[in-house]
Amino acid sequence: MRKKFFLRFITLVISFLFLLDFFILASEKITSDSAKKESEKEVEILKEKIASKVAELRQENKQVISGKIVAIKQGEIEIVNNNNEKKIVSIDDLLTKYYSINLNQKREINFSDLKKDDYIVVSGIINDKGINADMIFVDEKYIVDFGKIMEINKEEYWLKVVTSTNETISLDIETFTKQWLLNIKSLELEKTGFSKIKEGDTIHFVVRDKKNENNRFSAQKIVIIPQEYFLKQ
Amino acid sequence: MKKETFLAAFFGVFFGLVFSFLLLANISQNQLEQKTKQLLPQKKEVSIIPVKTTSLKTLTINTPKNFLAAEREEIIIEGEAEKDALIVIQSPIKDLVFQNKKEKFKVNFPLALGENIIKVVAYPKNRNLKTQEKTLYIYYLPKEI
Repeated sequence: MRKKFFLRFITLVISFLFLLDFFILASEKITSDSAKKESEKEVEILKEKIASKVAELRQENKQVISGKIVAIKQGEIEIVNNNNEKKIVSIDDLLTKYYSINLNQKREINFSDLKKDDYIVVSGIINDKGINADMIFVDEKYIVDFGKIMEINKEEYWLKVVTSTNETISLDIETFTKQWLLNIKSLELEKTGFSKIKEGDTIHFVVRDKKNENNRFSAQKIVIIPQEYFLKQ
Repeated sequence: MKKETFLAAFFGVFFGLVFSFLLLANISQNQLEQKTKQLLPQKKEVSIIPVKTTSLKTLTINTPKNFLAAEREEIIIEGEAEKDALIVIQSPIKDLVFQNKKEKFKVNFPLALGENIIKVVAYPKNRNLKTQEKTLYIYYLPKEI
């Protein structure tokens, strides 16, 4: 009887140990699986971080220069930027793409469409001479400036303006010119006409960097700050 | 005349002369001091009146950096200028005029495709202070091109 009980006890212990072993093995498997998942997740995060850093570096290296074309040669374009410095735009026959911008719309063009005096915006990687071009945009060059109105010609609708750099500019007020006047009480811009402009008023203007047949600039838009605004201060 | 009488008369005259000499000397000393006082500049108490200095807060653009290649068709212009200055921000596609109520300003500004020349001008309320200006060259070149 005692021996039988002992045998049952031993069998129970062995079964228990056997089950315990399975349990340990299963638990180890779960732990190793979750650790594997964890490390995979970490690798994924690291990959994402590297990718975003590379993109960031690329973006940092991607720079833009602009200027007027002074010479077009095989494989390169010479431009003069806004500071009157010469820059070389190096072209890659396979990589460089060309676009024309007009009325906020782009159109793909070819290298052969570029010509002297075109104003171009170039994006790419800066080098010691200029830039290795990825994209070239033929754009419109504008002048955005301000000054004081010194003379008004009411017959021919032009204004003589002395800018903050003491440069005298003649502006033609065309039918398409957008004219705004500052309301000195509300400080809102209101539509105005040529007759409301007075000598001594301050003018902010936008013109295309190309003189018209009258040897004056055609104003795209003007903002007038009446002299009374400054007198009421 | 008796010897005592002569001595008394002598001392009387002598002390009289000495007294009158001292008296005259004292009077002339007083007169000289008064004249000197009149000639010397009168000492006055110095009062320090604080002078109000007018220093101009320089127009600065904190963001965006000049020559930025933007990938969105709108940027945020953040800067600092004189309080109550009239700020004019102009580009070929947008005109913005406002009074700088605090020293710092922050505005959304749209971009056109390609080059955007943005002129920022600050007219200080105090007209004795100089008008300030900054020009930004921002390029809107979207990724998908």
